Amino acid sequence: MFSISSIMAIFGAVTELIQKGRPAIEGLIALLGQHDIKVRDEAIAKMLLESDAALQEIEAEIAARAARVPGSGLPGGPV
Amino acid sequence: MKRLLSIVLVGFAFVSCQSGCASLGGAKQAGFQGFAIAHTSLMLTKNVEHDLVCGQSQAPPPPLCVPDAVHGQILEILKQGFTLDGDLGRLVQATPEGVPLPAEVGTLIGKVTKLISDVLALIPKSPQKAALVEKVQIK
Repeated sequence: MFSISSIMAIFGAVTELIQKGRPAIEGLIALLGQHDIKVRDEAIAKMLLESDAALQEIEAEIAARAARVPGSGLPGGPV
Repeated sequence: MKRLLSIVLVGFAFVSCQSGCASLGGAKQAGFQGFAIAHTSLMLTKNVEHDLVCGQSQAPPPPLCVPDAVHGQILEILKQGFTLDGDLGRLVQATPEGVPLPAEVGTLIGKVTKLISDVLALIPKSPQKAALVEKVQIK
């Protein structure tokens, strides 16, 4: 069973591994063990939030670029 | 491309493992691992590419940096990637314990991997790109 502090430490490690790369998460998964469903499901939920935030950030940047590209034809862009 | 994309292989191995694969902790656990690896690789690719765009403080000088027009192309690919990443995570999340993973899990992992590969192909060669390729193990 993982304690709350263990879960927080794991989530901190998940954030850190984004910077360090894939091998880090493989190690982390191994540390998590294979049967702690609660921790695993919370990790999925956190990664989904992260994915949705990244998608919104990208869409905002695409929209901002379209607005400044001449002849884009999108609302707010130069005619 | 000298090697097959390792994440694809991992993904299909997980899917073919299905519910009876006790050594991996079950099908849902395998799906979680596949999603976690694909998601982390995509996030890492996004973050590194952003830092390599010409004009960013951490970007190398031309021609090693990512030109603005190429960055625009990459954004469109990443948009697809994160859309599929979300679909993948939600599919794994919705899969009940003890049942085989939907075949679509492997398909989505393969699609995300292909998109990461497409992004890497657009990034000019640099030490930063080499480090990224090494981390996501797509060559």
